[in-house]
Amino acid sequence: MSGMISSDGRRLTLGPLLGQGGEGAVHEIIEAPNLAAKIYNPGKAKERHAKIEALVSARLHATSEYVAFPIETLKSANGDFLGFSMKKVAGFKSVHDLYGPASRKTEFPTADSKFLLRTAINLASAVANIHANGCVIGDINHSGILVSNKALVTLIDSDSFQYRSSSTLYRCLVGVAEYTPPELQGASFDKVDRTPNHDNFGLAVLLFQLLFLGRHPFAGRYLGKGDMDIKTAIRDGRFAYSERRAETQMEPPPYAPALADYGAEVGRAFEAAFRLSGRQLSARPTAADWAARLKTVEGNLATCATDKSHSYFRSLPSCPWCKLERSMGRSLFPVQYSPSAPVMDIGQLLAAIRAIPTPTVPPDPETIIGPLPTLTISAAGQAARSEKSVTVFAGVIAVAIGIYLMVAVQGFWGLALAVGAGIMTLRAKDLGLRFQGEHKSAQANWEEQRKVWLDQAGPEKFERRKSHYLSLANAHAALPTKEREKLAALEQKKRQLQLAKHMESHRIDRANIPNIGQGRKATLASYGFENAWDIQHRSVTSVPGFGPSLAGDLQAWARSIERKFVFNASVPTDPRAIQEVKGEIAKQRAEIERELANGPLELRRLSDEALALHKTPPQRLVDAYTRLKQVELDMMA
Amino acid sequence: MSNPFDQQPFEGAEFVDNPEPRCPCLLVLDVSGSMRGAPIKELNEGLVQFKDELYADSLAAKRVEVGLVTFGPVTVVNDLQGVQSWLVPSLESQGDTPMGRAIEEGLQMLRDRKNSYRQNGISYYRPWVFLITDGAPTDAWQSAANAVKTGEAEKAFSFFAVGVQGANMEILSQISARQPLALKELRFRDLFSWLSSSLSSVSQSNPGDAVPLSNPTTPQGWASIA
Repeated sequence: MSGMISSDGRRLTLGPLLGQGGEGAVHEIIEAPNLAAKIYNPGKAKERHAKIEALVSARLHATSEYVAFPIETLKSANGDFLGFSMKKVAGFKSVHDLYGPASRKTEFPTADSKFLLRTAINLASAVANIHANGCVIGDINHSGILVSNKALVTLIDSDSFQYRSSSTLYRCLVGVAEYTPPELQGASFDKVDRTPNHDNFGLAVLLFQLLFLGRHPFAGRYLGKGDMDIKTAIRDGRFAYSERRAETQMEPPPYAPALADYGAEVGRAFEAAFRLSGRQLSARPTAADWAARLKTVEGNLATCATDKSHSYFRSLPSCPWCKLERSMGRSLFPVQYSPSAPVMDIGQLLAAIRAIPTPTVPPDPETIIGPLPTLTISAAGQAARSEKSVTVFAGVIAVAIGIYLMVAVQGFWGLALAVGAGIMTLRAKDLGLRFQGEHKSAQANWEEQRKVWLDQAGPEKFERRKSHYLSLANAHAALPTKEREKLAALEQKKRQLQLAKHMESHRIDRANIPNIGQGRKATLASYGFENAWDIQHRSVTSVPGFGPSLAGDLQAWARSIERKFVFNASVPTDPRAIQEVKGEIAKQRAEIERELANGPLELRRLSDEALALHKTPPQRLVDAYTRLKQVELDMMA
Repeated sequence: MSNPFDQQPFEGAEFVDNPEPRCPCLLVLDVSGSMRGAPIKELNEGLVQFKDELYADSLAAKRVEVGLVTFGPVTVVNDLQGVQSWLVPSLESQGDTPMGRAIEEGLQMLRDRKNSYRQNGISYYRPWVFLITDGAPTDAWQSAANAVKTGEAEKAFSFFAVGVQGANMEILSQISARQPLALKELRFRDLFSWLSSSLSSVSQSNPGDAVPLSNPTTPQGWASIA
């Protein structure tokens, strides 16, 4: 079966197979290189006939260039309905190859965060266009959406769309649960009229996957017991990134962007799309809403200073992609530091840094604080003094009475009283004891403030920062060497691989090894020793009957094979591995340069601050000094 | 100031690179001495074809993960890993048939893997465990049989037992909750072809859905019911 007749009367021939699905196969058409033919499996053709006729006569293919709608019906020579022709979607790839970070690197090697956003906008526009033309996609999913290398989106499988002609509703009979809204989970699709609002759920899931590194919005860490599969999570409204965490019992997975990373507006739109609220389902953003909202984000993008492949919503405080990449230590997008970008002139920068005067050793802080306003004994000091006078006075009287008693009345008790009162009086006379604690703390405070001052006013802090910048400059200078070393390591690895192949190609059973006959070869083979590589990497002595002598013979043979190895440098190293090394180095360079650029400014500021501190001591230092002097004065007897 | 070159360990890399739901498939393969010769050769060729067919399906290649435990002696050849990075090993026959411990080892691998799915917020399909043997266990297998029955009852995995000629189907049927299948001749390649296409259709379905599998016990199929 290769000849067929198109409904416009053309005779067409089926070409090579493009793809195969559950319902039929898609072929090229020899006579029409821009078209493809979908040919249904024998059982399916009959039930699809009427729907395809309706789609063709509605001329939907003229309404949208984003959808591979049926153009003509195809019939066999004897008039049996076979399928339809549609535009051939060439050079497009499945959307899941774009949103999955690993497959993106191979399938869309230049796609960055802007590309993903543009794809999301184009997808929303395509769906809005379909809705505007009276169709509902129904089975919206990751395989039915194709993306070009210019972020253009095309939908295939249009024959499963729901379409209402003037007389009949042709339902969409399929659906993928990961994209099915909660109200349709578990429903039988042959009994449901799909609405654009149902599509809006699946669209929001796909947009989320495009914008959040392929993560499904309902896949996260479930805080409850057991497992939470996506279907159940959708049915229960457990949006894993939601702010309603108490309600959803879900946490976002690790290393995923945050909901607010595209601005609060977009975050709220996703919340609205994924919220479970039977009463107000219309709250889901429509495809047109999404297109408008995402365009606003696109118009407010800032490009990250470190990595040009990072674009983020302008009002965020810092680049969320850098934060993510730092936390997981790998790049999410092909790193874009154009190699032609002028490398910072480190020599000039160093000269600038060296030109900044190092602050001189500051004078002793006591000398610059200057004379303190005349201190008088504080109230506490006064009180202590008068208390002391009273105590001393009472003490003297008590001593006198004691002496009198001792002499005139009773010797022992008089002596005791006189001695006791004497000790009390002497202790009270010493004010130092009373102010000891306060003095200690004032002293410590002063020492601390003095140290802080010396650090800031003197050369220490400045020198510390300066040597930090100098070491960064050194690291910067070492980057080319580091890059060379890493690339050399790749070469080395290539050599290793070639050597392994070489060794493996020398099989024991074909080799001529002294003392190793057919029998021993067979024994070796049954223990998995097949080639020279095995001999070098496993111990032959574990094989029964193989002692050190035979093992020596075998190793000598393996070494002779190794000597024959010639490295073929012309086999190219994996370009992706090289790109990775270069990207990593470029990233380090950008980070160092960004920090270094601040160097002269910060050092200049530190130098100026130190000078200013020499002239005017900070208030805290003066206060600490004053407090210490006050205590010392109070203590003076 | 933090050092810009600080290194941090990162364990969720594979799940960042590939956030698709996972469909784990654990192969528990008998490589005891009795498999020597044609059976092990057919088995190895079946494995190569298994990988090639899964690899050709771009979505299945991202979703299916293969783990491999061999017994005689019990060896974890590889932990569960994506088809894209799976290097098909070349198995060699040796040793006896400690089937019980191999099953328990494999089930432990599954549990560990599921934990890392959960930690990383990755959803997954019910794992498949495929036991292929041509003999009878030479170790205590009753506790493994209990673990299989419990796991099946909890829907923790689906366990399939396949007996190559010479297998003790009686014991296999006591281990597996499902009817064990007998491999016709040495049609390992047909078996793995069936397995890859079944896994492909499971991986395109929704986690948790029952997927109608093609019956391998038709006259053209690779299996018969012993």
